[in-house]
Order: sequence, then structure tokens, then C-alpha cells
Amino acid sequence: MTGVTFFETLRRHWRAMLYWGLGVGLMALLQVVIVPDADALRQMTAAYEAFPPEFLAAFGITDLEYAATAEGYLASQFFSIALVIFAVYAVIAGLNVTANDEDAGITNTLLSLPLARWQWMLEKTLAYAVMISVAVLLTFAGLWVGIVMTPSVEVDFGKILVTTLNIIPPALAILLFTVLMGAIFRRKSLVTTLAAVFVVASYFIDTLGRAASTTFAADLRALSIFRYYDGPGVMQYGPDAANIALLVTAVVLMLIVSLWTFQRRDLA
Amino acid sequence: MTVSELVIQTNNLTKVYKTGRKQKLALENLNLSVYRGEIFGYLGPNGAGKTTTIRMLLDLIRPTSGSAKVLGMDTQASAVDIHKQIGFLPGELALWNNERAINIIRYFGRVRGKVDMAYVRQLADRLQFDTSMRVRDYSTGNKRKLGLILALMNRPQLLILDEPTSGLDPLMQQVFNELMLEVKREGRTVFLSSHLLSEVQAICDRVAILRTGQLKAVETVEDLTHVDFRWVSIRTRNLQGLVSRLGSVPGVTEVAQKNSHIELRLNGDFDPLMRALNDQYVVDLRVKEPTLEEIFLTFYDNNPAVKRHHAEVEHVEKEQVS
Repeated sequence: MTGVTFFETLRRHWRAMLYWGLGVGLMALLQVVIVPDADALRQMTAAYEAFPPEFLAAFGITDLEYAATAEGYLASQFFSIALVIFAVYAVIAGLNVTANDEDAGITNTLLSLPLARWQWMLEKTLAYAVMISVAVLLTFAGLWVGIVMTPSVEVDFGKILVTTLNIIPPALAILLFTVLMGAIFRRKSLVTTLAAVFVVASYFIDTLGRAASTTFAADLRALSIFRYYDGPGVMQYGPDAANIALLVTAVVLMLIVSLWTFQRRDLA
Repeated sequence: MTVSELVIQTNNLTKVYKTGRKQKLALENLNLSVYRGEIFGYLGPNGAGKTTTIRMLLDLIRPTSGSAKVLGMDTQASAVDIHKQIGFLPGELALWNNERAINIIRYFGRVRGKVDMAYVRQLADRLQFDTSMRVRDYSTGNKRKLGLILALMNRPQLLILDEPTSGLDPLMQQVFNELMLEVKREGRTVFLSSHLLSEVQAICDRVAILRTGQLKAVETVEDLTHVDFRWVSIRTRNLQGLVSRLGSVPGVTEVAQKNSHIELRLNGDFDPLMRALNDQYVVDLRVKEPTLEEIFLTFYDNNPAVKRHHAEVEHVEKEQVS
């Protein structure tokens, strides 16, 4: 492995990574800055009591006492949707690995170079994995700046860091799902549709499963990537090693299948 | 030529494209040999299977059956090793539109390794190409120049070029021809596909003609233009009865009287025709080599060349009369 394509991918796409990271980081910063004071939080959670628990559960609020804290507020208002935002970036990144170049006809020229298909795909995938990780860390930087700017907000930096890092495995899984679709199918439109359906369906299955926790919908959550992310839960109870292990395993398996499939099939 | 000098060798190479229930035979049992140091033209109309062949040689697509070797190596088993020694220009060059040409050249250079950037600058100078612009700002011809630089930059043993001069102006086509002849002089090989017969005629040693996925012929350009057939124009003092007599001469077809002379198509030797004219006072005899395009069309079994030729003759005669 030469690393040439890895560094070339970083060179060509670091700006996009920076914009995503800073954008989400800024959003995170604003979320921290606007955290209501303790009284306001208590009033807000008191208002929550008027809502059906199923409705609140759909948005990751299961513990009203915890929701009345700054950490609980950030968990429900930021970390519950953080993966949705990074999922969009991960899908775009996944399309950039093979689908966009193949759709544009660029792979015909690139893969006439002394570069094995699997190597080209692996180096690009690793580069995007690094960029997603950096963008997530930039988000943590935004949270950190926000917390420093508002001393009244009492949160545990360690928990914030762990919960932010917890975005990386599911974001990589979404990246690899898109890469896998790009490896199997030649049509970019089909790859984009499948990746979008995967993310949107996952989100709705998870939301529905949380709201209807006593029905079959709760069992369906096992099919949703958001079930294994569970940002609000990680913020409150810490990371779930089983979820992370499952996501990492899925990432590795999807990478292997992607490399194998792309190496074997005809290019468009 | 020995087998060791074979640069491209295909063995019953076949490709069938499958889309749903539909199947399309793109290439059928192609057996082709290209030797070191030659410029080999691969001719055929759109959809004949030229690009399919090239994509299989580059291992971008896999054959349905058969096999191919490039530089003595199997195209599937040794694709990366083959790619180290080749340069490729696709028919429709696509690159990242927002990227500057120089960055793409540097990237390709790093992937290839050991690229002489002085040679790259020399190529850019000869092709009058500015490497500092973004791809989206180049004209079609300039994109073609960039493709040529990318293909030539590592001085490859084998150049595979798909419609290389489309979009190049005549001056640049001349530069391209010079570059190809330099490659040949250095003992390297060029495999170029084209539907521009003049391009092939100018620089190629041998030509393969492909139609609907089938190889119709492989000939030297010289053989194609000299051996196949000729147009003969004969003017004698007395043309009476000559048309019917010449029509029965072996190798003579399409005999027609045009005012003061007779036009005919001659396949094979001249001797039978000369003997048939033995008792005639021949005022003028002209022989016109068929163009490669006429030969090309003849291979395709439809013969507009004949009609066109006669139309040209009539046009010339009208001009002479007026």
C-alpha cells in the first residue's frame, strides 16, 4: 500500500471536512450557549410531564429528572440528532469513494494506473474514515468552546468527549454501507437512493421503536443503526461496549465485502 | 516476429453484456496479435466493440469467455504489473473538473512512480498545453492534450489510445503523429482505436477492422491500399464493344463507359486486363488506389464507395466539359 491515494483524497477533500466539522461544531457550541439555567430547565421538564411518555421517548427523553440537567438537555437536544447530521456527511463521503468517480467515468483512467482496485478503494475509504473522525472531533471542539464560554453550564467534559466519540462508529458504519452499495451497484442514483433509504428508515424505525416500546416496533429497532448509536443513553450511562463492538464488526465486514465485490465486478 | 515479441495477444476473447434479461454480444471470439514496435490501428464504427476490447485489455471489465495477454502477462491475474508499463487514453476522458491539470499530473506521477517531470514539461510544450488551469476550463481539445500527457508521461512500453485525436486541431494532430512515430522508433508499441481512417493511414503499420463485435480483417496499411482493388480509367481511340469485352475479364467488375473513357474496378493482377486491351490503341490509362475508407466500407459489404467514385468521375467530367 503506497498511501498516495490516501493522501491525495485528504488533499482534495479536507476543506469539505473542515466545513462540516466547523458547521456542526458551531451548532454544538450554540446548543451549549443557549442551555437554559437550572430553573428554566426544571420548568421545561415540568412542561414535558404534560406529554405522553411515548412521545418523549421517541426523542430520547426517558428520565425527566436527568433531562432537567445541562447534560440531559444536551443529550436530548444535540446528541439525539448529531448522528443524523453526520449520516448525511457519511453518505456523501461514501459516494465519493467509488460511485461518483465511476458515474463520471473517472475510474476508467484512474484504474489504468498501477493501482489495484481494492487498494484504491481501501485508501479512499480510510481517508474518508479519518475525515469523518476529524469532523466529529471538531464538533467536540465546538462543544468545548461553548462550555468554556458559559461557566454556568455544569457538564462533565469526559462524558461529552465519550458521547461525541460515540458518533464515530455508527457514522463509519453508514460510510461503509454507502461504500458497499457503491461496490455492488454501478449506478450512482441507485447507490444514493439505497444509502438515503438506509439512513431515513433507520431513523424512523428507531424513533418508532422508542415510542412504542411494548410492541413489535421495539424489536425492529435491532435493524436500525441509531439503536446502536443511542447518543442520549451513552451520555447518561456511558458507552455500550457491545454496541460499539457490533458496529466495528459491521464496519470491518462491510469493508471486506466491498473490497472483494469491487475487485471482481465490471466497471461502468 | 517471435511470440516473445507479442505485446497484445487475445484468445477467443468474448464479451456479452447482460442487462436484466437482455444480452448483447459486444465482442465475439477475438483473436488478435500486436507486436512490439508497431503502431496498430483498431478500426470500426461506433458500437463495433473497440472500446470493449480496450477495457478488457485494461481489466476494467472481464471477458465472458476467452483470455488476453498484454506484455506476456494475463490481463486479469497481472493487471497492476501490466498497468506499470502502459499508458492509456480513454475515448471520453473524464477527470475531476475542479482540479488543476498540474495536480492531476502530479498525482498520476506519484502513483506511477519515477516519472520524469522534465519530460512532462516537454510534452506540455510540444502540445502547447497550459497545465495550470482547472479541468473544467479546458476545451475538448485541451482535455485531449491532458489525456495524452497522462498517457505518455511514464514512457510506457505500450500505449493504448481510444480515439486519440478527436478534438485535436490539424496542427496538434501532426504533433500527435510525430509523438507516435517517436514512440515507435524507441521500440515501443501503440494500439490505437479510431474511426478516422486518415489518422490510421498516416501512422499505422497494421490495421484490424472490427464490425459488430467480429474481427473482419487484419492487414498492413500497405496491403490494404495496394492489394485489395484499384479503380482503373482507360481511354482508347475506339470504345465500341469494349465495355462488354472488359466485363468478362477475370478480376474486372463494375465496368462503365463515361463519355470518352471506361471506368472499371480491378481486383488482382493487371495482366488479364492488359491482354484484353492488346488490340486497342490506349490513349490514357490511370490507376487510382482506393482510400482506406473505401476499403473499410468494402469490408462491410455495403458498397457506397462505388457510387461515390462514379459520382466523383461524373463531377470531374462535367467540369471538364464546361
